[in-house]
Amino acid sequence: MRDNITLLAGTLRPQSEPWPPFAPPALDFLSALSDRIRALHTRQEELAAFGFWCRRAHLEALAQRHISPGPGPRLGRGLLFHLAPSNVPAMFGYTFAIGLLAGNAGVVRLSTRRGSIEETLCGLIRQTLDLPQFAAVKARSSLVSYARDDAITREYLSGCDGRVIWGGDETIAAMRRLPLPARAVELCFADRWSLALLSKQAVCALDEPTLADWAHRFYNDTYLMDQNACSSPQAVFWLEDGGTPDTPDRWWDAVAKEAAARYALDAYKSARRYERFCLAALDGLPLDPAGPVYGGRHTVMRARLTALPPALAQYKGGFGLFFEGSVQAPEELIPFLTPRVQTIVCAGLKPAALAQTLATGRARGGDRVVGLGQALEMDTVWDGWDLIEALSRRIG
Amino acid sequence: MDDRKDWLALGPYSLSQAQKRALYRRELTALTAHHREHCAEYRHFLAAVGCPKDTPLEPEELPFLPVSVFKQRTLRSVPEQEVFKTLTSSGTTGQAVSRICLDAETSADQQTVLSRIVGDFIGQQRLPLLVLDSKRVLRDRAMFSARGAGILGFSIFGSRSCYALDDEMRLDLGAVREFLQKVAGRRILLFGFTYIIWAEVVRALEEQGETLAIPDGILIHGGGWKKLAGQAVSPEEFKDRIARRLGVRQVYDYYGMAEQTGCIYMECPCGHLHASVWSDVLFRRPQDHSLCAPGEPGLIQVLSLLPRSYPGHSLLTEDMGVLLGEDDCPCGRLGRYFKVIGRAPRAETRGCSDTYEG
Repeated sequence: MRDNITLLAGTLRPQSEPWPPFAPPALDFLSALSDRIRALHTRQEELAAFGFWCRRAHLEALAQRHISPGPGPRLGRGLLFHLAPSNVPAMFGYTFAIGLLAGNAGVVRLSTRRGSIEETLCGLIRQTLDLPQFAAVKARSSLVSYARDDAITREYLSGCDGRVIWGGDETIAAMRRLPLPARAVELCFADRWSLALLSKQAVCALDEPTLADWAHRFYNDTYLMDQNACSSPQAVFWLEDGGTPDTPDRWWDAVAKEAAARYALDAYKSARRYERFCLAALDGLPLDPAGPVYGGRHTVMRARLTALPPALAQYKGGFGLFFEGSVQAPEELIPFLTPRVQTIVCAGLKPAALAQTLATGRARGGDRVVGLGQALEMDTVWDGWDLIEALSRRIG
Repeated sequence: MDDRKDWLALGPYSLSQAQKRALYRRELTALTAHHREHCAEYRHFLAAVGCPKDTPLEPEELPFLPVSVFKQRTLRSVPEQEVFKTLTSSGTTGQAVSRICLDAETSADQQTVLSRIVGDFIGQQRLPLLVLDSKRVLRDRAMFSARGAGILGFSIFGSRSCYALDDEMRLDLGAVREFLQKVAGRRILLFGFTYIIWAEVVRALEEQGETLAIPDGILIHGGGWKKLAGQAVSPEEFKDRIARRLGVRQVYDYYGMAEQTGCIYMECPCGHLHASVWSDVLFRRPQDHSLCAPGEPGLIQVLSLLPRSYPGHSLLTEDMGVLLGEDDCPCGRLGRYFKVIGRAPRAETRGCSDTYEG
């Protein structure tokens, strides 16, 4: 069976000794990896972002954040089996790194369809793990690839202390058909839906260079992943807190300028986007009877809502399609925040204050509130979980 | 309803593009109003794209649904009890299939129109029919696929018929030769799907070193080049190898789809696909769906007068094509003629889903 498995980095049979979270050898390894990635000066943004995420200063800040006074010392759970998505290139790196930081050994299964970012990152991880000073980390790391094969996955699962499943509802359903040892933990990352909330007053007050910068950051939150990432906003809501009526048009003109210059809208993406718009229309989503508004050589497609529909979070934008609405106060969004809603990207509002508003309003959904430009930034608190806590155990 | 019977009786290629425009303006505006009234989803769609009510629509102004929405929603403009069969597209295993609701009227019109179009090419009399497929495709009526519908649709042209493939989709040379002997000396109609003809008939004959001699055969095939493009088989090579292995020299391709069954686009002896009076084509730019300039390749939009039981009278396909001309094909058929270039390429997209496969 092992013949069907390709070892991409680390060792084929990892040890499963638990380490304390943020153990120095894990930090040393990840920061050495970060140095190597950053030395490439790559133009591949996802790779550069992962390199930046793994820098020592950030890891130490995370370690500080996750110190919590508790009843006793904490250790990793042992060996984790990670399933990484095939179309978010650096995701396997983050899940591997977070598993390590929580004190675990890890098997990371990558898809057989790997792009250049995966190949580069796997190569760097392999080279770094092969350095003699990281032998102990290598002994607990296994990055592998194999075609979908339940027999292989079952064997991995039978020896693991936890599994981490990225890749959405269908992958979770497929994985849950495969048994896990009774005491093993499981973290599943389901299909999610995200939105942006923009202060009309704040956007209205921006000078041109700042507006362009905000639009640039919004572009990175959305178009960079074809708007298909769980944390990419599908809908944009205007907080009606002031500003002039032409503010939305001015905003979208700035986004369109950025998108027209950077985004490649091809026939396939355009067809999928139009299909999504039509499905929403057929289902009776309350859309402006004037029809969608296009901009930036059609890279922007605004489907303006005339009311807030209860099933809004079922409707995906994508490839430059945004559902657009407005609210008088952030609290108005709360009834529409179903458990499917993940990230709220806010501009001109303080994320911490908005998070508190959601908590006060007892929102069912909304697991993450971030500023503009941070939608795709990975965090050790994700989908409502403290990942370090969830992937470690406490000796009480 | 009377108008409807009028246009059903027209000669398949008897209207100039200008005459057709007048007919389409009237009929498609009425058909759009019909679907607006009887299909709530379609009514919502028209509202969301800003389609005006009670004004005549030029064909170019008609809203178009992506053909793929029929894979995700079951749309009908007749009461459920009037749905007489649900046609499904023949997608490969695991893929979503289109579900098209047909009532008796739409289904009968489809059949009429198909027979009129094909009759224009092969004549009105029935011919011995050699189906280059397996009879098994017809048996599972629960899933009435477009492949089965195509075979049934063509079977009305056959005086007697023979299926060339057995239940396991293997070429049954014995049965074919026996059939050919019985109908020796007569014109024979052959029908099948492009990829199946290629993979299960032409390639099988080549591998077995066998040939058939059907010099009076007329082969009509459709179902697209999608699968064959992957094997780099050009239409010319397809025809050439058909001629060598089957001896058939009259080979006509057609373009059509389950979502607009009946009004197929037949290839004339000049190699052009023709729109009949019952359907038409427009070409739109893939990026922004604006209309192409004459001669500019684009996504094919198909218009049809037939669909009354489901809102499928104006659909945007994912096939690329180019308009070759109007009213002036040397074959004498009026209306638009065009060619299909292929499917718009599928790009890699990003996102969090789709992990475990592959």
